Amino acid sequence: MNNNSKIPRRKFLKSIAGLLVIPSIAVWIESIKTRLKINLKSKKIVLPPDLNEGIVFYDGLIVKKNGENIKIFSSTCTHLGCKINQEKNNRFVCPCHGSQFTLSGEVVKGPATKNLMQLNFTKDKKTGKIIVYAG
Amino acid sequence: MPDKQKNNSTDKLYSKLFGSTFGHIAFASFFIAAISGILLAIPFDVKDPFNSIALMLIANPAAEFIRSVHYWSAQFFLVFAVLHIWDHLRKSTEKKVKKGVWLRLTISLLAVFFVMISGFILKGDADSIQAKRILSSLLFEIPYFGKYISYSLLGNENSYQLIYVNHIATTTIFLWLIIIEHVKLVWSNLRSTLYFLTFILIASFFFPAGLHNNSDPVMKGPWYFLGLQELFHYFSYPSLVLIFFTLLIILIWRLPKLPGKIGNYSKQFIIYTAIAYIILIVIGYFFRGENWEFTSPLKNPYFTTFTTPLLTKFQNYFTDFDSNKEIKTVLGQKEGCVYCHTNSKGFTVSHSPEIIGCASCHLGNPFTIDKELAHYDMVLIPGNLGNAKLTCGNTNCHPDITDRVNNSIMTTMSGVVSVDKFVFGESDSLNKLYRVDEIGNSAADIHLKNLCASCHLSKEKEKFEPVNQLSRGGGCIACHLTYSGQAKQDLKEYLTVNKIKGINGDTLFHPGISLKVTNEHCFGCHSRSGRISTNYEGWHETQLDKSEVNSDGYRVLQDERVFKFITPDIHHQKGLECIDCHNSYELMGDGKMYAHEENQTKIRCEDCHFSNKPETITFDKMDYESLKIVRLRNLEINNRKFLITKKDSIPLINTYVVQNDSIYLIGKNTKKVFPLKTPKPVCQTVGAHNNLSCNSCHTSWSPQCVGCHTEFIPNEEGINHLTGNKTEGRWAEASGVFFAEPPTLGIVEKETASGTKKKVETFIPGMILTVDKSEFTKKKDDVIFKRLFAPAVSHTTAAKGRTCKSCHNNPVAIGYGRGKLIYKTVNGKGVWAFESTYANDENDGLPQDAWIGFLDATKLGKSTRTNARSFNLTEQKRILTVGACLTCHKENSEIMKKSLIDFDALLKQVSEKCILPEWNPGLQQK
Repeated sequence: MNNNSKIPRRKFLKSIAGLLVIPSIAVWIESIKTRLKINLKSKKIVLPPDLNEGIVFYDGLIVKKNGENIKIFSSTCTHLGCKINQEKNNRFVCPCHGSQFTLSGEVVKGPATKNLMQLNFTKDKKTGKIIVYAG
Repeated sequence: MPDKQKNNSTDKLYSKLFGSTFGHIAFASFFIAAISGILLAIPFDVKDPFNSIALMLIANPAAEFIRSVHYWSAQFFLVFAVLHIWDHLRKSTEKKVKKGVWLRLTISLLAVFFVMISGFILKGDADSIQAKRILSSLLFEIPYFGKYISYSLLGNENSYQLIYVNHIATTTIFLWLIIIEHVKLVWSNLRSTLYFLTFILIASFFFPAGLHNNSDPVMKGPWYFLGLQELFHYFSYPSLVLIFFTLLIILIWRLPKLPGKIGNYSKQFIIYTAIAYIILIVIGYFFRGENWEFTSPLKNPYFTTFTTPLLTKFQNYFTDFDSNKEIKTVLGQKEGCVYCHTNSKGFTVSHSPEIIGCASCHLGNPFTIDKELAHYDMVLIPGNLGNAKLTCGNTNCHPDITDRVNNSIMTTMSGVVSVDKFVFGESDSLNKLYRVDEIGNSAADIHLKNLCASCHLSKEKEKFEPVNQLSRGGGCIACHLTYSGQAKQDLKEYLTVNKIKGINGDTLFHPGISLKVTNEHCFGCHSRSGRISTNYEGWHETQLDKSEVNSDGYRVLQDERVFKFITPDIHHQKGLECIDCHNSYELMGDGKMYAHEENQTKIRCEDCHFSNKPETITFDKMDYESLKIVRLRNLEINNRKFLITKKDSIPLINTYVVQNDSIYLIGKNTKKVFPLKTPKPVCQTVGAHNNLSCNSCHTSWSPQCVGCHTEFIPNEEGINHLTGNKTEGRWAEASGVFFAEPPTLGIVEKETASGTKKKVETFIPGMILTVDKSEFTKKKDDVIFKRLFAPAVSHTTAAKGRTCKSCHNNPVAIGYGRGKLIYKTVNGKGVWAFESTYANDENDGLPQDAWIGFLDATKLGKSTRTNARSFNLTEQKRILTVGACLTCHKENSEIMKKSLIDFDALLKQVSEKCILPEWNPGLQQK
């Protein structure tokens, strides 16, 4: 009689293992979150003060510099994350799937649907260096 | 039962063909991949994967062979794993697999694709970097966990550590365990392994795994993901594709549990999806090129720039690498070229091998030190437009410029083609856009091919030689190629005794690629047609033979045409070169296609010679290209104001305005400083001459010819200058007399915001000719006569303008042609009369050299431009009225000076002595 009310050994162990999945996932996520937080600090990109005028592809960034007038975009295509590394006929063109953006970052040809991400930056008055926060 | 029999016979067939079952072959391939992977880990450097592989290719052929074995075994593994699944579905054996095992097998599908794509990513080349980014973005699409899964599988953006661990350990161990559980074998079947090892070794030997040169513009994933890349091109929302494939995996997982009919439909669906996917792979592989645009496989750079040739060489596995020599890194990649070519000089800094290597320009295979393999598919003359996209225009260098040059008028020759087709009666428009290298085989096309089509930038330069008078085409190097004296000497040694320097301790002086564009670069093409290059230097073409020239003042060109010295352009006399006025946007084009050269040209006389306040720009507002050129030319920029062109506001980078508004121009090559002069007061007078262009007064002479005839000679061979091949029959030109005289004047009309603006411009007899097409078309009397004048800037500017009489009393200037233009009094009335030197042409009744009939409203002149024309009758009368005054009044008399301000008012005050032309009857009575 008592045997019927007992949970079989295998089923019990499986349930324990199942229960362990949830805290394992929590620990896994937590460890990555912390790792990413540490990484975020290094997402600061410093541009040299003598960066060329015009359009420069620099370390994951597209810098559009016209004297003091500076705009910085992420070079990551908004469609699937490819790195945009060229300007053709006044368009930034994604080499992987062919999306096109104007020089102001607006999407003009799909498959991308979103504009390029414009990034904030500060300029160090003393050194002239431009600090971009890319993350 | 019949099904079972069929399956058995199919199995037997496969067994005969492949020596084993698909499953065993997949396992054998996996085993070989794992073992070769262990060996590959030794030369592979996870911190710099790309260059560690490049070093294997260049200096460690044995390691590269192991890599090829790893590559091929992995490809075989994937293909046979898929075939094995198909086999399962075909035989419905999935139902025999235990529930838990089937689940793990389904999950292992993802592991198979991960182990494959991670291997691709671990190459670290341009394709791999993009693949990693795409994979990361895709994983991010998974709700909530996406970010964490992406980070766990791929790690940091700039590190390969995690993906390497997951490739060699996590997925490999997982897959091996799954295989053990599924096949119930720990090691692969020895027979299948040895059998397939043979195939893999052969494939590795003859088709080594390549490495994508980072300067290749085409970005493609591994072949098995090209179907996905094609799908992603169409889908703005990649999550849809992701959901579809997730559902497909779930369907495969649930397959054993699906009831009969639904199960069969599902299998059919999976198979059709697989077939559709294979079609997408084929499209992606063969028909997609740069920026994933549709391209013919024959023109696809993907197949022309894969840097490893198909055949490797056996002896290379035993190459002795000299460790004293350096394998340099250029543009982020290792390059084997400088291992041999150690000592080359003569480059500008930006084009030196230390900065861009050799392969950036010459292509070939940079990942080897074997001469034959390195020179495979090498481009000997980079910069020709046929290769410019991959050489000068590669993504690291000048991609935007090659596109522009391709559309520029010096490449298309659109104006020449459209006018020629118009003259031949093949087109009714003068403004159609053409590309000379795409013309067909009509009469006009063959005419162009025989006589004109060598002067365009897409003409291929084929000879090693400095740019000279006979040079044509060459793309970028048509203008940018320079040879130093030493480079010429080294070329001579190469051409005469086949001696190649720079390898065995001596120095090679390589030709340079620079901004030193000289008049010689322009001369070859521009000493023809309008002849602006020869005009500029003061040379006028004669019809003399070179044997007849025995005195100074004549010049024989390399093509043996004889030129006579007349008067050079004032700018040439002062020391200005062509490049001092012409800027990058008009020479290389601005990206747009134009119908005629004057539409692409930006510079105007008034940009440098003006009297009002200068329009300027400072360097911090300048466009990128101009600023780059300023820097490359070492021109000063700080605190300088540069002039800009009135058309399109392009900075004139070699000008500057100093504080007291003195303006200077600097010779781009010579660095000589020239003060820019403001126009003379007479040019600034507001009044009668408002509509005159600077050229109309300051052009001292223009080359002109009379009586040209063009005919087709069917029995003689001609040359097709586009291809260099022969043509059956040829078009031949016969010219009449050549003149060097002040040009004819006419009107160019331009639409502006304030209405149509008229400008008096200079014209030359562009097309007064008969074209005899009879022999070409085989139609009797198929002869065309045309009388078209062409607006032309002759580049023979004189400091002093034309005299008043040279226009107002000159029949050539007005368009009547050569002859006597006489003003006489008949019955008390002033009458103009004209006696032509040349006889009237039977085709239109006008003298052979005329543009228009003398004071004849029915015989006005047409031009090679739709917006240009001869003077109309009213305009002719106004010109001749002044001409009448000039028969008595001196040019520099006060009255004539006054006439420039308000001639009509002056006419009302004329004295009784004045006899004005008959069309002013009322006025002479005052």
